Amino acid sequence: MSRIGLFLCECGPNIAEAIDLDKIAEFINKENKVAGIERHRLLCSEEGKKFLAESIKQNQFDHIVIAACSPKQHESTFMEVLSQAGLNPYLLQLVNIREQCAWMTPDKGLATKKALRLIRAAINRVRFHSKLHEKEIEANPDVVVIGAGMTGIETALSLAQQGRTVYLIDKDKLGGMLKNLKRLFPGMLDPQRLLQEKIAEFNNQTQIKVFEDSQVKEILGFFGNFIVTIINKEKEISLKAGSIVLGIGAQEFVPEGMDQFGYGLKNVYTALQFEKEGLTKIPDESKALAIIHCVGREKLGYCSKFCCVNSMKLAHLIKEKRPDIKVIQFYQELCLPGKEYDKFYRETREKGIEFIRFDKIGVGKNGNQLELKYGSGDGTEKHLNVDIVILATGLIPNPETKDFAQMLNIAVDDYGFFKEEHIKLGPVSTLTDGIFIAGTCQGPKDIKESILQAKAASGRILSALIPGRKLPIEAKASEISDSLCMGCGICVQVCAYGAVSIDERKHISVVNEVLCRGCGNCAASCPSGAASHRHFTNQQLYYEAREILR
Amino acid sequence: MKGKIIKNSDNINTKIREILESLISKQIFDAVFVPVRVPTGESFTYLLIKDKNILKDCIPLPPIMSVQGARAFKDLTRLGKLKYKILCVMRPCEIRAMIELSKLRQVTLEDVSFLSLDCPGVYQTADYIIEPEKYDKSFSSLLEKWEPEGLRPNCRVCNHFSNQEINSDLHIGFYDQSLILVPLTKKGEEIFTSLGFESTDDLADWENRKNELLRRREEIRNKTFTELHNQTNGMEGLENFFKGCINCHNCMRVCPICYCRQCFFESTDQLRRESEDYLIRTEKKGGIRFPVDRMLFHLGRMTHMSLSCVGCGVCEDGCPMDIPVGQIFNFIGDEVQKMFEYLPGRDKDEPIPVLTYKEDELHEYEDAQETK
Amino acid sequence: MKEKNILVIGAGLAGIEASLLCARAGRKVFLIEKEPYFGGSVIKSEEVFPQMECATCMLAPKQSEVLENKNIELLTLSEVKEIKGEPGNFQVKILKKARYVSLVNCIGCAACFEPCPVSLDNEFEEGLSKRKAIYLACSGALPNVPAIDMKRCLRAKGEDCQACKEACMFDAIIYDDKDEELSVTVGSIIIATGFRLSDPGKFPDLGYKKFKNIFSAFEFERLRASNGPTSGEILTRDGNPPKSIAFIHCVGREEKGYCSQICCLYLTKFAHYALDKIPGVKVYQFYKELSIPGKGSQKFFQEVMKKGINLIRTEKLSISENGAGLRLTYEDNKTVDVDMVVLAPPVEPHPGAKEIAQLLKLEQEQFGFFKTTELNPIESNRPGIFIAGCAQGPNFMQDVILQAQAAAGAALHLTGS
Repeated sequence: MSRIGLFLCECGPNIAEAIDLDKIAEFINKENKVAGIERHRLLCSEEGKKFLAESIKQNQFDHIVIAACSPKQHESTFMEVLSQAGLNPYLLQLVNIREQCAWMTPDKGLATKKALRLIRAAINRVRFHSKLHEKEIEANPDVVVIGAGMTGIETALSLAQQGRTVYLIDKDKLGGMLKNLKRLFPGMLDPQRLLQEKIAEFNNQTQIKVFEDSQVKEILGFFGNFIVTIINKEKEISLKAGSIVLGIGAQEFVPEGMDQFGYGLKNVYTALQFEKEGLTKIPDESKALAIIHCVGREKLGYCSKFCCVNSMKLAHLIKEKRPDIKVIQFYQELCLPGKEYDKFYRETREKGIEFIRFDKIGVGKNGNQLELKYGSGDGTEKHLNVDIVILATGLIPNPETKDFAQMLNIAVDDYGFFKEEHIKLGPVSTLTDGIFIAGTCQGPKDIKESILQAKAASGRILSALIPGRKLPIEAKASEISDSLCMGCGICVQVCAYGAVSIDERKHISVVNEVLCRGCGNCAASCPSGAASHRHFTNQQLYYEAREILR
Repeated sequence: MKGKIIKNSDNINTKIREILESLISKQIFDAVFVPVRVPTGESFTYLLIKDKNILKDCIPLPPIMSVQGARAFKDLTRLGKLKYKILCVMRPCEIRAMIELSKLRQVTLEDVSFLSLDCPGVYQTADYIIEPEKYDKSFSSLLEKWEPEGLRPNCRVCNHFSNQEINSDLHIGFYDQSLILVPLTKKGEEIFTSLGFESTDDLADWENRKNELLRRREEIRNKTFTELHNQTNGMEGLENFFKGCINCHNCMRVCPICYCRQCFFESTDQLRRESEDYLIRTEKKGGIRFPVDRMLFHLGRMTHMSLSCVGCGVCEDGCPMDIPVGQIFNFIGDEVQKMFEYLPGRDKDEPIPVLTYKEDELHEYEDAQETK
Repeated sequence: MKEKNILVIGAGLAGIEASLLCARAGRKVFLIEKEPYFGGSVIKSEEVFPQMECATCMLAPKQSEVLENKNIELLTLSEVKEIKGEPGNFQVKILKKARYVSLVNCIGCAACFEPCPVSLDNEFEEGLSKRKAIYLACSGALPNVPAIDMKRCLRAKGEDCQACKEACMFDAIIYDDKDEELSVTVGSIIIATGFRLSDPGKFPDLGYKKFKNIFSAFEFERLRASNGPTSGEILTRDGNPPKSIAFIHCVGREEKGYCSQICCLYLTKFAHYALDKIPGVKVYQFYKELSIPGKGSQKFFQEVMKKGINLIRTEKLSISENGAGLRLTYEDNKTVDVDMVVLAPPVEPHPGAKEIAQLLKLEQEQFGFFKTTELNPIESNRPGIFIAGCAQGPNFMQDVILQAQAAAGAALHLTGS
């Protein structure tokens, strides 16, 4: 028989005046289920906490119910007091009789009745609380970065620190998308020099180990303890790390099959193709060049954000090389977010670049030239002959995205990019602890933002994995009974955190304690009750609910 | 649709036996999994058969479902996949249950091929064992007439009695004393060809009969479901429906889908309470029925199983109190499956809706709630 | 010897996120905030796009963590007064102004508000409601402890009013509370002073403050806030729900010289608010260029527009009064009559940024935001001092978080593992 201690907090007059605590004490006393009832004016005060701790020790209570305020306000306060009093903090049940009764129900009689029910429910529940322990595991502070474009390079550089090794892996050479570029907007920096500078920084960093021409074969493990197997020159190498950053980039959308844009015709380029090859091959006789914005945007379902500014950059590059060529930008909506680009736009216009807003547009052949047929909102079709057409197309996911997503059990979004933990608050993390996504593999963006994501991912890792420090594990987690589980795998599917997997040898599901965040999805979906939540067991919930409904 | 028509197959069991023997002889399969009459004669069981001589006793289409094929199969791959090739000869509802079990990781279908059969329905096991000869006789005429009289209620409303939306490799239909062979998959095509057949015969007659039958079945089905709906509406209706239940849980034990090692509703840890608890529960109701949790068991099982319920009716066969439990499961299953646009056993790659989360679904039900 | 402590200036989204990352790494963090509450601009919003999550609920877990994490010392009503030293070892003097209410004793029961005889415009509510001299910015503001606006308190005028003290049951009112000066040593500093929206009155041709039913974006946001002045009901100043609303994009963009980035999408959100709260309301969006970058934005935009929004592109727009309502004239001669107009003025640096820039010798760019390196938006001109969030320019919330995480990483890196 457990010795339950019930503490009633008056919260000054807040509870004492709105709820008849004497009546509650009297009733509970009669029920004979608690070993003692104590009352205090303000339990959260220093004096109140001392009173609580001493009373627990003196009365040898082994389970505690506190009727006071919202758990949000003081659950952690009281859990700490329990610890200090030598009691496992999870043997506490806090009842919110302030926000849920005193402040909500003006009728004192009703408020008292409600509070009494909640308190009886808590007493019934707390009996079944078991001691939970906050464990820790050893964690490896090293990091594997997959993809050695600008994102991967920047991640590696900002992570390499004393006591931490970074493995930078690419199936190709260092540099990624950057290698194809001539300039970076809006400052027109030279990307090749930037790349050289960054690579030179590697030489000062013995902490960074680069594996070029390497394929990722397998990734096993979890936050703090991953094993990544790569194939480098037909040799298998196994790398140990605590965290993984995916920076596998994206690729340019090529509008194949979208005939109206004339892709496939001579002198029709995508923006990237033009920057890579077309720029150096502008025919001498060329007089006019058109850049068409938003090609494929409707099909892709998103604005890639960088193409408008990138198109202006291309105009600058063309003008630099061939001031005689007329450059016309055909656009629908100019997307120039942030404080720098309106200026860049004005500078572009000042260079004599023309901007035409179109509502429809088509590219065809006209002798040696290309003919644009377009409408600009007034209902008439206009014609324009140009020599070169550049299609600004935006980014689509790297085809390997889904392979990595599958390998790591992380999600992809509606468009095929890696899905972030939270669109606003967790842009570089995933729902699986220890796996981060950065750069264009998370969504279209420019170099600057990719660098920022790289640094953000490093920030998250530098904060979470510290050489020599262990990782805490959620105590209020799930468990799966070996003897009840039939391995149907429903729990594996409903776990958002990749924390449940099938033990193929035993044909049952197992919970990875490190990844489990205690959401209880597995427990709710398990038909046999094999999966359960340690702090929300069926018994705890049943007895609590029964008293509330009584 | 094209296939092979084998004429003058007055005894279908014999004809199918020949096909099975041929597949074993040609080493297309190492064994077949097929129903056989038990030696005493009044029931049937599934046998895994390697020996051609024993194959002679098989009854691929028995007149009762003494055991659901999928339930029978479960033990075969309990410890992992087969290491040999087998052919399962089953009724459509049994194959559909197999597909569901594979999604729930209870069977492994690697190296398993399916031969499905047109199913006219079956008799109630309890009736059959009293007068097997009588029912054997009427069953053989059933294949000609396809009339629902005397069949189990679930069979009478079955709308997946042939190759409709089935995940089988090869299908055998019956029409006008002929066997209709239709390959349904690439694997089925290979089996079909290895038997020396070609898909040259026109199957319009068989199909027309099938569609006509389906139309009649749908009519009965709708009528029956409407009746069931009215009968079981509200807690009182439901209570009345299950009034005879003695909590034996037989329906769960014979169900092909129910796969838990220990049923949640039989678990001491989960549902048995302190004695005081039962007394407290009488406070509101005045009294509490024992054995307890009888209705909770059925509702719980419905929650767990209804998405995968193939309506085979074996639970009703197993009920000693003659509760139409198969019918209510079939009816509820149908509703729930329609709600999620899901059909159990249709496609082994179609995930069970309970395993997938969609942000946008069931708004029509939300709205319905709101207007209430 | 490198100092491991970190100073974060500004406790909005960026400051909170940066502080949490540093504190989780085991560092002592001084998080200083000018206001008596923390949470910055995020807590002014009811919901955030594109998922229309409750904004305060979204931030609440992070706020609780700040309050509970023993490594973070949150100093509200505080300002930096002096900074000396170098990266790895900055000596900082902080002025912690008197709150006049004990953070330890007060339990946030709010019993002190009613007796206070002073009534003032509530700045947090953009003046749309009143507050007392002892007040919380809004219900739910954290820490859940009021402050006394001593300049406006009757006691400042020499009266011996004790109304709040008498109402307090917990001895939490401290009339003789004093400003304190704290000296701390830190290895790195993160600036997260945030933004404000420009006064739309600076563009007088639109008639803000002249015509009563023109609202600024934050005013509209507070109208929709369930803890706001109208408990979430969108009402004109006459107290009626508007039958039609016009949202004006790009207000002052040309004058300022940059696109504030967030307005297109928050005005889309506003349209969603309006349609959600006022059945049958007619919604107009007047815009110049649509900027809805990023992977989830277009879908959100289209879904809202599908509900019947009138999208009007125009370069020219003027507003005049039309009886009780407002008339918008665009493209010289076309007109639309509405009951309410909401303006999206430019995002500009927080007014306190200038002082901090001078104090810390930080450069500001032409618009007054803190200057950062072209390819590293968190790096200031001074080593060891990093800039996060809208202090360095208009940003979406996800970019604010990214900068905060990056700045925390940089600060952790700099101060050694």
